[in-house]
Amino acid sequence: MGISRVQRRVFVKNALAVSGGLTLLGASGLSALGSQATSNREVPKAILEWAEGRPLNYGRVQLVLPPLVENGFLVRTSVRVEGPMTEADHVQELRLFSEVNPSPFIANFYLSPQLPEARVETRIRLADTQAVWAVARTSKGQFWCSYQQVIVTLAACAG
Amino acid sequence: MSDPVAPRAVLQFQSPAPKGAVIEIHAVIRHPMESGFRRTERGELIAANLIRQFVCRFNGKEMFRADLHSGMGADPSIRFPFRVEQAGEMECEWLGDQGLTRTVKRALTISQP
Repeated sequence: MGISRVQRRVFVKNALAVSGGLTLLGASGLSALGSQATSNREVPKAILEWAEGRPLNYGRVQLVLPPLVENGFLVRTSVRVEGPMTEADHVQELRLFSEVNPSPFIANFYLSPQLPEARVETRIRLADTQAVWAVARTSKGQFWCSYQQVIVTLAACAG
Repeated sequence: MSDPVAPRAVLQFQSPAPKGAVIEIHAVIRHPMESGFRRTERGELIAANLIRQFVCRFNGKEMFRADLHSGMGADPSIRFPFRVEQAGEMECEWLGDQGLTRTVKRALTISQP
């Protein structure tokens, strides 16, 4: 005899719960998966040049941008990097990069370990629909990155 | 502000603030952030005119610094958290093209419980 109806129902319920949990994990950022998570999106050249061959880890960086903007002249951007802010281990540098602006450079932020948290909010310019990248370098020399896709309906020709 | 070398700049944060509190430091400067990639109607490139650097110090000690590039929006706005440990002076400085330099200072005081 096969599994009873009730057992089957429980199994399906559990399976759904597990897959739901995985979806949540994905939505809450890749931080939970740490460096195991990789991306199939091509990393902009400017980032690779900065990292100089050191490994880029996906996670720890939370980049918040509106998924769709009417124009790219002023796009509210918020970056936060999880982790300690102590003299021995802190986020030293946080950079924003653009994939398709005429120049890939947006801003580089240099943080002191006295700050309570590695977090910056600013307004950036996007020439077209693209992904914006945020890359953090810790005082231990680790690189953490994240990107966020933004659809721009009216481009800023100024990048 | 009619003087182009000293555009309007604002430094805002909660003060007085309780000791141990995390406050938001908000610094904005009025500036076109001309990227250097735009052209006039006649096709001539418009020269770049950017704020290049921003530094924030508390009691003379550097807390936050930024290199700004063409991807920053006009009237660059920067906001970051700061933990109140002691009273003192917050100083923000912007440096840019065409000899632009602008400093704004503001006192941070501790509120009495």
